Parts: sequence; C-alpha cells; structure tokens
Amino acid sequence: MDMDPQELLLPGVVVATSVAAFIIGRRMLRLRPAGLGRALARTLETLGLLMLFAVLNMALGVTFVLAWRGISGEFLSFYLLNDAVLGILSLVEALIFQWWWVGGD
Amino acid sequence: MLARLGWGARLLRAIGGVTVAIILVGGFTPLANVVNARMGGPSQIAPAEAIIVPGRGGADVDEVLTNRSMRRTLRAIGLYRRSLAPLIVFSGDGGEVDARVRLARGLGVPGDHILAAHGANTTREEAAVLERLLRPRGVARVLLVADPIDMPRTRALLQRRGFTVLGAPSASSGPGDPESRLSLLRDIGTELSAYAYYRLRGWM
Repeated sequence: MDMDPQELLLPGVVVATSVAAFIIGRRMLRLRPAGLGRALARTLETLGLLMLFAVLNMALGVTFVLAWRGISGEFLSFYLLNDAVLGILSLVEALIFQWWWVGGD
Repeated sequence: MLARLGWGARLLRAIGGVTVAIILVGGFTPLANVVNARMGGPSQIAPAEAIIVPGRGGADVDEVLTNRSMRRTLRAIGLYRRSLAPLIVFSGDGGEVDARVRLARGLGVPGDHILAAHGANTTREEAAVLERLLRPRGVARVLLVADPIDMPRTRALLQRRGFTVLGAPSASSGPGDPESRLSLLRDIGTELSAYAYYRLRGWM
C-alpha cells in the first residue's frame, strides 16, 4: 500500500516542464506573472465545465437506459456509460463551450 | 467570459479545484486501494457447498475473458482445487459463462462439478438465477468470488435470498499505478451509485 518512489517520475517531469514553461514565458515571451493567475482560474473553469458536462451526459445516459428498458423491454446496461471516452468527449464539449464564450468577449 | 457569470464562474472554479484534488489524491495516494479493500471486507475462506462466480465484464468477440472475469475464474478454480467446495457456479452473460466453463474444464475441473448460470443481465437477476439453480440442490453456504468493490451489493442480494455468504474477494490490494487507481476510483463511484440505486428500489 506504500507509494512506490518510481511514481514520483510522473509528477517530477510535469513539475520540470512547468518550471521550464514558466521560464520561457517570462524571459522569451515577456509574459506577466499576473496573467498566470487568470490562466489558472480559466483552467479551473474549464475543468468545472468538464465535470458539469460529464454529469449531464451521465444523467441523460441513465435516463435513456431506463427509458429504453421501460419502453422496449430490452436490456441495456448502465455499464455502457462507465467509459473513459465519455469523459474525453465531455472535455471536448467543455473546451468548445469555453472557447465559444471567450470568443464572445 | 465566464467571469460575467459572477458566482457561476466561482462555482465552476470550485468544481474544477475539487476535480484537480480528486485526480491528485486518487492517482497519487492509496485512497482507491483502501476503499477497494474496505468494500471487499475480510476474506472468509472456508468450506462451502458451492463457489459462486458472478459475471464481470464478459468476454470479447474472440470469446476471451476480460481481465477481471479471468481473475475471478482462476481464483474460483484455485479454491475448488483446495477442495473448499464441490461445485463452481459461473454466472453472467452467455459468452462469458461459456468461456469460463471452457477455461475451467481446460484446467481440469470435471464438467459435472461446474454449473453454468445463464439468463441474467444484472446482479439482481444473477441472484435470482442462482437461487433457482442452487436451492433445489440444497446449497445454502457459498463462497462468493468477486472483485472487492462488487462484494457488498452481490453479498447483500445473495443473503437476502437466504444464502450464507463467505467472501473470497479477488485482487484485494488494488492497482499500483496512477492511471489504474483513477480507473478504480471511477469504478468505485459507479458501484456505489448502483448500490444506492438498489437500496432506493428496495432490492436489498
């Protein structure tokens, strides 16, 4: 149950590339540190939208399965909804919606 | 943009923050493994009248069992070989049951010691089919081989139908990499939703 030290590899490389991106942003692209806070806020909004779309998709899927079972009498499994692809598609929905919103500014 | 929403944007950020926390805690701590082990309960390996192996994930188009279904099947065969019960009962959808029966026979379990429980699509239906098959044979004490997260619901359904259930969870320690732990966390969420749904419907 103890954490394997090898698992530090993933967060390690992410922290390293994040630091590198920060240095490049500051020194080469002359980005302002204040903009980083806004970027973080927008990222959290995107993730919030992702969860919102995921819950809506799941709720609609459950409703459809129940309706299908009730109307047709045929079996349709709830486990069809337990698929990572639904999460990826929800992320795409969230990104499109947020960029649409950004474009409206 | 979303800042126009005011409280709505703040709510989205809060949800996003919780999402990040879940990913970090779920992926990089043993949380999912701990919940997994808790749901499985203690292993109660003892003699019984039958070993019950509910369906899990089915078989693919080449009739190869999924990882979880295979693990359960091999665990059940191992318990049979330890002479803990004279009968193995495989349930689930048709292809999965048939593939399990073939595997058990191929590994030396005699055909008359294997029972195929066809005709169930859900865990509730599996419990009903198992009762119809096992009650006439006088089977009351069973070893239940299932994934830890599936144990509470399956155990409760079988107990409600009068079986004495001994838990023999498979793969109790859980996965050891972030992606698999997050996947397990999602499965735990799904199973807890199913548990709540069954309770709500009064099925257990």
